[in-house]
Amino acid sequence: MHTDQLIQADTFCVYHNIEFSFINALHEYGLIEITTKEDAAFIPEADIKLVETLIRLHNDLHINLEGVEVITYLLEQLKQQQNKLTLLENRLRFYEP
Amino acid sequence: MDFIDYYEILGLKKSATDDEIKKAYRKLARKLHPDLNPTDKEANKKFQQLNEANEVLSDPEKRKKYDQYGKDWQHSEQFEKARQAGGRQANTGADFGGNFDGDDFSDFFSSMFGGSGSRRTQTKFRGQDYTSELQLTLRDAYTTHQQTLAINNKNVRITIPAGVENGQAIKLKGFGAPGINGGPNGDLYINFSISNDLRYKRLGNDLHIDEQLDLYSAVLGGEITIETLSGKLKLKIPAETQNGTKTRLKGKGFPVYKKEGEFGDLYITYEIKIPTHLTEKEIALFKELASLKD
Repeated sequence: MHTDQLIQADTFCVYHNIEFSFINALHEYGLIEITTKEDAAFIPEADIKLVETLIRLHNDLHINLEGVEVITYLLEQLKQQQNKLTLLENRLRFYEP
Repeated sequence: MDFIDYYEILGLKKSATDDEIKKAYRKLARKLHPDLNPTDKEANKKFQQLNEANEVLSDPEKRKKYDQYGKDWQHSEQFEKARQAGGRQANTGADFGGNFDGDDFSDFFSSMFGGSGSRRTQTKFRGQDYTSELQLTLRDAYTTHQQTLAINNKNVRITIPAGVENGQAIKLKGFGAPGINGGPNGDLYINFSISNDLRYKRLGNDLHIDEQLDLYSAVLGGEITIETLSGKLKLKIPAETQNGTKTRLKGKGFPVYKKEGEFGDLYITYEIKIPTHLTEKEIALFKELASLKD
């Protein structure tokens, strides 16, 4: 059985010293998922690494949310290309002696 | 311990203004940030140097000390002591007592600024992810097995599921670099590098092998025994099998990753071996056969 682990958004915000509005904005941009239960917002545990990356891009590099969205999309594309490259390399190995 | 030219790291002259330092740092940080270069170790190393350079040059007191001693930084403590002994009021000025883990800084920085830097912000950073490579043979990857790895002086036993692909990575949560300012540890990614096998060629979940077949079995049909990764198999050879004929054995290939009991297929390509060192009688019989075709 698969169980989703959820992290309370308020706790996450306190931990990272950020406003909830930022998390909400990431959600509105379609960058992260937020689950609401009994009036409390939760972030899936699997998304925490992504949210932390988005926070760093925004805070460390002073990139606005539009920029963060573009970077996220390009990083995902890069990852897909790398996977494709690995796949092709593995196919090429078939013809190596 | 080498002298580190922080100005050179930022691509600036010693006369650079605070604004120029800020701009140069931001520009390079956008290029070298670990989140934008997740697999580039060189970029990660440069980013650490960049942070160190910014830590010093963006702080007027630290910059002053760095500019003052420059290449003679090794003697800075001696200068300070001499000054104090001379009755002057020593004022190193800098407050370097932050709780930031100084491991991120070079030995040069530690020697000059007392071992640890102070971060103006106390943002919690997740530790950097580490990447490591694990060599496996194709036969290793065929079965689910356990391996013990030494990670940060700790022995960690990992289970490698059957069917892993060359270049595939598994994540060991929390085994990366320690978090900064109380942030969580990074993760360790283990990339599998699977060496080529002389007999078996793998394409996805399918395996391919070449099998030699004697001329007589190829012409008249017969039965052969072949070695596979799951054991020996008996195969019927139809009469008049041609050289290069390919046979598929369903479910006798490589295990499908994390799908227990599922396997790819095994493809066998027959290479018909022409007999050599024929006896006179064999030659005569072949000639007789050939004459029948005329």
